[in-house]
Amino acid sequence: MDTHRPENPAFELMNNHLALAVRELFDAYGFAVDPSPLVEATSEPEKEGMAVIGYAGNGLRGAVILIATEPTVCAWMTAADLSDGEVADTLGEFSNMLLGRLKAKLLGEGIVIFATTPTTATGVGLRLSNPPGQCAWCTFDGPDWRVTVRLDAKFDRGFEPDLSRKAAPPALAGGFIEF
Amino acid sequence: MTKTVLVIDDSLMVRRQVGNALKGLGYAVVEGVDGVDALEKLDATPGVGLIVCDVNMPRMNGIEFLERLSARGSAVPIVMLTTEGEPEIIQRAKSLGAKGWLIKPFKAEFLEATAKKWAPLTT
Repeated sequence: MDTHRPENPAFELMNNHLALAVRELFDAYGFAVDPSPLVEATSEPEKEGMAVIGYAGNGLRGAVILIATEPTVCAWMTAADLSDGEVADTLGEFSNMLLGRLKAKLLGEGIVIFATTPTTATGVGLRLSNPPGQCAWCTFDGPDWRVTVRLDAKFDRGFEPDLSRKAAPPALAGGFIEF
Repeated sequence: MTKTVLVIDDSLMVRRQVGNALKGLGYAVVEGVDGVDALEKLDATPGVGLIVCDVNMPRMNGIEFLERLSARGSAVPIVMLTTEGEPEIIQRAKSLGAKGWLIKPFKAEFLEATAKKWAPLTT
C-alpha cells in the first residue's frame, strides 16, 4: 500500500474534508472513529470488500475508495438495523453517502463535482493499482473494526476552485427540505 | 386502510431501511431498483400513494424518472431521498413537482412525517 503525500493545497483540502466526512458519516450510525496509522497487514488476509466511486468536476477527476472487511461491514449493517443486507451493497451505499458528504463540503469551497454510482468488489487479498494523479490513504479505527479510505485526484494544470460557484449546501446529511 | 409506497433505490440497504420504517407505520411497500424498473412497478401496482426516490441510479436516474412522471401528468407525490445536495439539482426536482428532499442517511422522523402528510393512513 503506497502512501502519496498531498502535494497541492486543493488535494490537501479535499483530503481533510474527506477525513471529516468519514467521521461524520459513522457518527450518524453511532460509531466514533479516529484516524489510525497505516500498517501493512501481517495476519492472514480476511475476506473484504471495496467500493469505488468516481467523480469529475471542472478541472479535476478521481475516485473515493472505501475498503473494509466483511465483519466490519456486518457491524455497519447491524447499526443500520439491517438483518438481510449484502456486504457489497452496504459498502457501496456507505461509499455513496461518504462521497455525498464530501461533495457538499467541496461545494462550500467552490469545487463542484459530479459522482458516478459505486462499483464494488469482494474477495481476499484485493489489490489496487496506483492512480494517474495523486492519492492518499487514511485508516480509521472504529469500536472493534477498521476502515480504509483512499482519495484519488488528478487536477488539470492551474486548477483553482471556482469561487463564483461557492455555496453552502441547502441541507446537511440527515436533513429534509420540504418544497 | 393501508396505502402503498413505491421505494426506488439501487441500494438494497436503502430499500430495506426505508421499507422497514414504512411497514412499521402500516404502509405496504413496493420496491424499484432504478427508474426503468420503477415505471414498470408503478404501472403494475394500482393505487400507489407515495413515491420515495433516489437520484443517482443506473439506467434511469431519479431526475429522469421525475421528468417521465411529469410528462405523464402523474399526480402521485414524490419525495427524493439522496446523498445529493447540489442546489441546481434540488431546484430541478422541485420544478418537476417533487414534494421534498431527504438527505441520506435519513432521519426516520422526517420520513414518517412525509409519509403521513402525502399518504395519510385512514382508520
